[in-house]
Amino acid sequence: MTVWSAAKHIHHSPDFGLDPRKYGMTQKDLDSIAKNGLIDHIRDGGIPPNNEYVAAFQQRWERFAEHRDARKCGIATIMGEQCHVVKHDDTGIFLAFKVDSRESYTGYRLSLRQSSNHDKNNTIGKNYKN
Amino acid sequence: MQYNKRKHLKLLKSSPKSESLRGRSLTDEEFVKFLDSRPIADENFFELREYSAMMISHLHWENREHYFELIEKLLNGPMHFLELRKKYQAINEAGESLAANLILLEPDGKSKGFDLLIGDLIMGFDLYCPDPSLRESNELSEEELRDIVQKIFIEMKEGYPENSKENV
Repeated sequence: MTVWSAAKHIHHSPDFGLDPRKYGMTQKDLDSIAKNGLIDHIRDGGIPPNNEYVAAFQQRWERFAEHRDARKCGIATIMGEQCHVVKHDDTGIFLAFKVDSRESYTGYRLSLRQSSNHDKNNTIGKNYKN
Repeated sequence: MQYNKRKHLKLLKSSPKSESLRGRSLTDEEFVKFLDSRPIADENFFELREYSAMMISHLHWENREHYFELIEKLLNGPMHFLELRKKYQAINEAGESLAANLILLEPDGKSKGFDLLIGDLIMGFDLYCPDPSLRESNELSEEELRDIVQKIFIEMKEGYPENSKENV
């Protein structure tokens, strides 16, 4: 997981038990990143996530992926993108890595329906691009 | 699968409560301990998840008129989707909380699948990258996102009409 990938997905870090306030940010800052993207958030004068926060999030993804109960689910289609998926069934937390580049794609807590649909149809989000 | 309120209640009573990590501040060790402490999903878990998901889909569907208003606002104005995202999250959390407190609602069969469409919409927002110089191949421009929102909106309006005389 690259620094860039962790930074731009930082708004999902509370799903992994990280509190933005510990790193000098607020939920409002995360909402702004979710809404505007990281770059526009910073351009608009918003606080960027500091190195410590980004490193903690990288580490948290790693800890999650290595956990014994994080199931390696194989390749699934996520909004049309082929990804390797790691999921913890009980919490619905998942991580996805692109098949082609092996780069992290996304990760957060799925809704109950999304998690169930992933188990049944091996997709998370339909591909509306084609 | 048919919703079974009695079975839903029974499963809720006999299963450990689900837990979200939102609002908590865990060290790496605490995070691993938290995962260690969670039960391994079994047949009962999957059945319970299905019933609870049906109930939550019903809650989203009951709010469809407000969702439609918010989506129309998006399509006719700037891409400000925070309110939609927050509503989606709040309903998911409310549904889980109702279930945890054993307050169950009988889902209307017409609500089936509505939550997935809203979920897809929220996922689309996550792929939006307004800056073309930073956009990766899987990410969406504003035009592409608008196109996806439009497609999902059409599916919603067709599959889940707003309240009218014949639906009341």
